[in-house]
Amino acid sequence: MLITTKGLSKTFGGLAAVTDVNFSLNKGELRALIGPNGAGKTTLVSLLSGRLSPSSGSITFDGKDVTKMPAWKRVRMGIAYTFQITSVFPQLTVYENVATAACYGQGINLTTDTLVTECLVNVGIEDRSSIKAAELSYGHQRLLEVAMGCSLKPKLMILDEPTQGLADSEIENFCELLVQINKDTTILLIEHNMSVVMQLARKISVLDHGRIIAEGTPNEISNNSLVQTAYLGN
Amino acid sequence: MKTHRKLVSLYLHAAVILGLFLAQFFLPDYLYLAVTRVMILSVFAIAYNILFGYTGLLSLGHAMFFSVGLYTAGLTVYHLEWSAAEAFVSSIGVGLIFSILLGAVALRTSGVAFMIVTLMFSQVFYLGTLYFTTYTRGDEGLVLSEGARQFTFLFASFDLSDPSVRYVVAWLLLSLSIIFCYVIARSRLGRALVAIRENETRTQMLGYNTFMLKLVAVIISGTLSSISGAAYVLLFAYAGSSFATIQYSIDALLYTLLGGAGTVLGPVLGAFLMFFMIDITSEYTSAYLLIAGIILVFLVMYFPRGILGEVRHRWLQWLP
Repeated sequence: MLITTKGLSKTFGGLAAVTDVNFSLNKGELRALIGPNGAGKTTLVSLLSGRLSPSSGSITFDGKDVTKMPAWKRVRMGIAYTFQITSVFPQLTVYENVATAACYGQGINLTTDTLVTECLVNVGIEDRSSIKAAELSYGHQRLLEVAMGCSLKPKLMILDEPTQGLADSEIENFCELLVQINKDTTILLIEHNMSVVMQLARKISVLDHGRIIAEGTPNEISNNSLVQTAYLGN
Repeated sequence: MKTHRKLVSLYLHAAVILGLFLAQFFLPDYLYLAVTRVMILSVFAIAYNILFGYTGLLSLGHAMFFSVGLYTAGLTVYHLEWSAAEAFVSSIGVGLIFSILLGAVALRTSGVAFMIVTLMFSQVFYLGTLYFTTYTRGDEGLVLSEGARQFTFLFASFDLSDPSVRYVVAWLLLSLSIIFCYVIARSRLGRALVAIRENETRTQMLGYNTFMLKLVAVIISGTLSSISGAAYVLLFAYAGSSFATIQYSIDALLYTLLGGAGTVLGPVLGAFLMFFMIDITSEYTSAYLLIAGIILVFLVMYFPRGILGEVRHRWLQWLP
């Protein structure tokens, strides 16, 4: 088990965003987390990455209780998070963006320069390394985010709707990239694009009203009546 | 190419330092003193810029750090008859303590709240200097005697009331500050501070302890401000409450904005330009602040990055 939660809940005032979630991920998985809008997906991954602290419950990562650990320490332990809304350093160059990310990576023996170049080559934007991130197209900014995540050499990479706003041709390349990354990194993917989910994930977790209502293979999930109700209503 | 640019940038900063040193042999008498004073204010502006320009934290309380140094050195020399060197070193320590305290409290806020908290602390300090008039003599201030400003260094004795000694001391302090800021801007710490300025949430989610980094920035900036304040009182022999008013915080902000926030030489350029702008316009009219104000409005409209910020944006991307 790479990450496990027990009875994880988060309330905002009177609103229960995540309720009693028992969730776990094995090493090497590429898991999709789906659910209707407002189901609590972003809240759940924010709890995992440490951007939010839970109201109750616990989180264990890599054999350690990280429930109370601040986000920056969890990153150093190997949890990388890419934001739903593109979040890069707009006034820094593409290279500087990745170099900034590469500081607290896991067990890296490479020099920063080799690592940064490697990550930029992997996502395919090495030819743009010296321009400012603000000047990149939206699709390239998303790739830059992934490169920043990779440069941390994380054990777990959490991607929050990474294909949102990408063109179809870009999505195809993106999926290939995720398969590459998954070779040595566990991935938790929040995604609305069902063809991406069905193509990539071997296992899917479905969240609705802050609870996990189903877990299984893509086939099992698409035939699950609870899931159909959650998405389509009665 | 990269190392070539690094060299050019090194030479540029070295040339500015050398130029300021050589200027003492050509300056007319009245400018001699003025430049000495502006060099000390430039150190203050460099300190301010480390927090504002590089880290992106706008403080309205830096007059407090400046006057903490000013009063620590001034009071110890005046009342306890400490030597200039003892007073200078102790003001570094007191500045450090104030920076840690203010940073630990004010950094719990951000944005406008941070500006207000720093301003409030600074106002408390200002009112404190008035309240303890018995020791500080408030607005009237303390004047240090000439005898108190002698010091010996490497068996030679110096007199801080001698204009040429004052010039060299101010120049030395400014040169060290420029070098210090240059090294920080190029260091891993400097890059982390810029990352916080650009996108703090992102920086945190890359494994940086952003609270601690911001605290380090406040400590460096505050302590260097105190050093400039201590140097000011030891060189010019006067410490009064007016130095603790918000005016001095605003001045540091203006120097930085005018010259270019987030550049090593920007605050220095800004301090010199502001000084000469006021000096020249006040010869022609008593409404010199109005003219200075109009010039500043134009600068903000057409050069929002400040002079060196604009130069860097358009031509010299490598400028630290």
